[in-house]
Amino acid sequence: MQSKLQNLVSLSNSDYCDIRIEETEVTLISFRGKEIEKMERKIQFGGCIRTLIGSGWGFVAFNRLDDLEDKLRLAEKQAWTINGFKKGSVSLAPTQKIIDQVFTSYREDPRKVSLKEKADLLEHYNQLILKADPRITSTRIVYFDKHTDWYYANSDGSYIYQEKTDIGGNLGATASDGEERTYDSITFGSTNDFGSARNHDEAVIAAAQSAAEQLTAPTVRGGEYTVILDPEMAGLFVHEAFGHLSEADEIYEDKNLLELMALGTRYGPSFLNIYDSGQEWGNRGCMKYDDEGTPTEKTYLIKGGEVVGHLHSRESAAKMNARPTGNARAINYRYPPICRMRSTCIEEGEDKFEDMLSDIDLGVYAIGGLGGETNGELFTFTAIRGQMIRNGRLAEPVKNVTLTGNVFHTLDNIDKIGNDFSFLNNAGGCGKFEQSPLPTSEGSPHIRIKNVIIGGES
Amino acid sequence: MDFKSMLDPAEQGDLLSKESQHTTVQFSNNRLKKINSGESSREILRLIKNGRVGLVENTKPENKNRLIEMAREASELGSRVEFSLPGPVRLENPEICDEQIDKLKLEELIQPAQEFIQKTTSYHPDLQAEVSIRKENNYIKLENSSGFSGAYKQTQVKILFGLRLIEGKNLLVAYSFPQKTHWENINWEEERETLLQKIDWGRKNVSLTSGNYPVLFIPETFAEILHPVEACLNGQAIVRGLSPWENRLGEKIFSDNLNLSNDGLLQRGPESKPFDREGVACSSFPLFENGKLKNYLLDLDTAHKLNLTPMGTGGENGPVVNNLVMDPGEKSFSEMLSSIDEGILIAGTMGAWAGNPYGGQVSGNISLGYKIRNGKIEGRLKDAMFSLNIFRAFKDNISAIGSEPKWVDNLHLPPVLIDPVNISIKG
Repeated sequence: MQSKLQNLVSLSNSDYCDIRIEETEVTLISFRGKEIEKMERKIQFGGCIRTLIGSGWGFVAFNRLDDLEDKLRLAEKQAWTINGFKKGSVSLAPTQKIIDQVFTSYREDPRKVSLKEKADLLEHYNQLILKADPRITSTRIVYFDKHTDWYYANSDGSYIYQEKTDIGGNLGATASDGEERTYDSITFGSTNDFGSARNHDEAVIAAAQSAAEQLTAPTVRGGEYTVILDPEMAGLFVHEAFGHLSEADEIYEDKNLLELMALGTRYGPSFLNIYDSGQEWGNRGCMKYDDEGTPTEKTYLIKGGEVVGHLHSRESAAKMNARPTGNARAINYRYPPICRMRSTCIEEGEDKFEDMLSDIDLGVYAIGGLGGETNGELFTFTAIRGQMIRNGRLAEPVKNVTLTGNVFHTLDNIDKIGNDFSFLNNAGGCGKFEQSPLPTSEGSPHIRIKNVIIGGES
Repeated sequence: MDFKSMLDPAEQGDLLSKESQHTTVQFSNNRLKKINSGESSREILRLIKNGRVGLVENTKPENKNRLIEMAREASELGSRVEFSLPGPVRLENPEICDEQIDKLKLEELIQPAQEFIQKTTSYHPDLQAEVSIRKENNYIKLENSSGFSGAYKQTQVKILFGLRLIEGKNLLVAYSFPQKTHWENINWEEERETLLQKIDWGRKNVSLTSGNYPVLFIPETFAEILHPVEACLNGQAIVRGLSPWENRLGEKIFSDNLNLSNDGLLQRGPESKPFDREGVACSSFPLFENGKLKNYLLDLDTAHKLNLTPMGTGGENGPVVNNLVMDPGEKSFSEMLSSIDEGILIAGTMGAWAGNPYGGQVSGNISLGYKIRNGKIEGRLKDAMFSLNIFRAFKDNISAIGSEPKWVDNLHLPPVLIDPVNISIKG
C-alpha cells in the first residue's frame, strides 16, 4: 500500500495532494422490546484523493482502486476550475513529515469476542430492563464496533498507517402507563476496550426504574431558573454550544464570528477552562493523527475565562496564523476532512455538588443529555430527566426539561464548576454539514448556570 | 450467475445494489469553496435462514460467496421473521430521471450559485451566503430468491441556500433546502426572494410576553412538528404498541380538514420510485382522509404481523414514507398572515425533533420567529421556545391550512395556522 499511495501522490501536478484509503469492518446489533432487531455486518472499503491548486481544492471519492490516476486528474480539474474562479491562494500550515504505523493498544479487542457473546450480553441487559419495572414497555439497545485500517499519504512525504477502533452502545428503556411515555438510558463507548460494554447491570436497572418513575413526574414549568447540569448534560452543552463555535473553518472567513471568537475575548468566569483533546486515550474521537496526518494534541479553547485557541486544520491554521491542532477530521473516505472536535471537556473545578445546591431557592437539576442543537448564537438541549431544586435540596422529579439560550450569555452565567469530572462516551456522534455521525466524546464535572430559560408548560 | 442459485434451497434472500455518482459545488461565505465528486457502489445482502435474518452491507469488490457466508453467520443470531419475499410484479415507472443532469457541466452548476450570491450581496453587502448544489445519478437494482428483479434510474438535485447576517451581537440565519429530481424545476428566483424576505423581516428585534398565541408554521417548520405523526403511523410503532393508533384503522382521529397521504408514484416526486427496498410495488394511498385513519406505513415484516397488505413503503430500517402529501386548504399565505391580530410566524426551529414522538408533544427553540401584529410582521422574536401537542392540535386547533404547498425534502406541505401554541420567552 505504501508504495502505491506514495507513487500516486508523486504523480500529481498540484500544489498539494493527499490520498486516504480505508477498510472498515462493522458489527451492529440492536434489540427492541423482547426481540433482537438487527444483526448486521458491514465491509466499508474505499478511498479519496484531495488536491490543491492555487486557491482551489478538488476531491474525488471512490470504492474501486482501479484508475487511481484518472481520479487524481479529475480532482486536479476540479481544483483548477475553482482556482479560475477564486482570487488568491490557499496555503497550508506546515507540519512534520511523518512516516509512522499506529496500532491500537487494546484492553479488550472486540474482534476477539464472538458475535454470540456480544449478542448474549446485550440480550442479558435487555432482559434486565424488561424485568426492572412492570411499566417498562419497550427497550432500545444499540451496539456497534468498528475496526478500520487507515492508510494515508500526502505530497509532503508523509505516509501513515493507523489502526482505529470505535465501540459504542446505548441501553435504553421506555416506560408507559398507557397515556405517557418516558425514556432513560445509559451509554458507553471506547476506542480500545470491549470491556466498556460490560458490567452495566446495576446501571441499566436504575435507568429502567428511572424511566418508570418519570411517568408520574409533572412536566417542568417553563421559566427562568438557576440550573445545575450533570456532567453528561454539561458535556453536551460544551460540545454543542462552544465546541462548534471554536471550529476555525467556520471562523476565519466571517469577520463577525472572528470578532466574537477572537483570542483574548472573555467568556465565562475566571475559573472556566475548556479544552478539546485528541489524546484522552480510550475515549471516542481520540487518535494519534487526524485525517490530514497532523498529530493530535490537547488544545485549550478557554483558559481562565478567556478565548485562547481554536480547532484547526492545516488550511485554517495558515489563514489564522496559528498552528494546526489535529482537528481535521472526516467521518469516512467519502468526505474531505473539516475542522471537528475530538474529546471536548470542561476542566474540573473546586465546588462540591452539595455546595452548588445549597444556595438555590428554586432551580432545576438537568440530568443526562437526550440531544441538542445550535445555530451559533442560540442553543437548545433536552435533558433525559430533571429534578427540581427547592431550598437548597433536590426535590421532586420533573420531565421534558429543555434548555435554551444565547451561548455567550450562558457561558457568562456559569457561576460554579464541580470537582467531579467524568468522561461521557455514547453510541451517537457529532454532525456538521453533511458529515454525521463522527465519533466524539465529552468530559465535564457538574456545572451551575444562572438565568437559564427552560421550556415547558407555563 | 443468478442470485437464487447462490443460496441454499431452504434460504430466502435479496440483494440490493446501488450505484451512484455525484458532483457537488459548494460556496461558503460568498465564495466558491469546493468541488467534490464521488462514485459509490454498495450492495446489501439480506439472508433469511431458519426464519432469522442476517444482513451484510459491502462496498468492496468481493467474492459473493464470502458475503453469503458472513450473512449466514449473522442470521444465526438475527431477528426472527415469518414473511416471504415478494415475487415478480408489474411495476409502474414514475418520471424520476432527468437525462439533462448527467450532462450538466461544472460551470452550469456554478453559475446559478454565483448569481444567488451576487444578488444577495447587492441587496445587503454584509450578507454571507452559503450555497451548495449537488447533482446525483443513482442506479438501483434489486433481485430476490422469489424471482423478483427490478431496476431503475433516478436523478436528484439537492440544494442548500443559507444566508447569514451579523449586526452587532445579532446573528440572523435563514436556510432552505430544495430538492428536485429535475433541474428545470428549481425556482432560483423564488428561493432567493423567500430567503431575503426572512432576513428583511428579522433585522428589527421585538418583544412579546410568554403565553398562548396563534402560530403560523411555514411548510419547512410544519415538517419539523409533523414528525410524531409519521412516527406513529410507522408499522413498527404499531407492532410494538408504541403508537396510540394501534387497532384504530377507520376511526376518526383528527379534524375533518386533515388529509394526509403517501404517494410513491408522483411524477417527479423526490422519493418516487417503482418499488421499495423489498421489491414491493410503490403506490399512492391515504393515511388520514377527512381526519379518519385509513392506513399505516408498512414493510413486509410489519404487514405480515398486522395481517395487512404492504404497499411499497419498505425501507432499509423498517417502514418509511415515500412522499408524504398533505392536501392544501383555501387560504393564501398573505390571507393567513393578515388574519392574525397578535401571533407568531415560526420560520426556523431547533430541537423540535427531541422528546418522545408517540405522545405527540413537540417543543423546541424558535431559531427564526417573527411577531405578527395586526396582520403584519412586526419584527424578530428572539430567545423564545414553542411547545404544543401536535395530536391535540390536529384534532382541535387547526385554524387554517394554506393553499400554497411546497416540497420540504419528500414532504409536500402547505403552511398551517395553529391556535393556540404555548410560547415561552426569556426575560
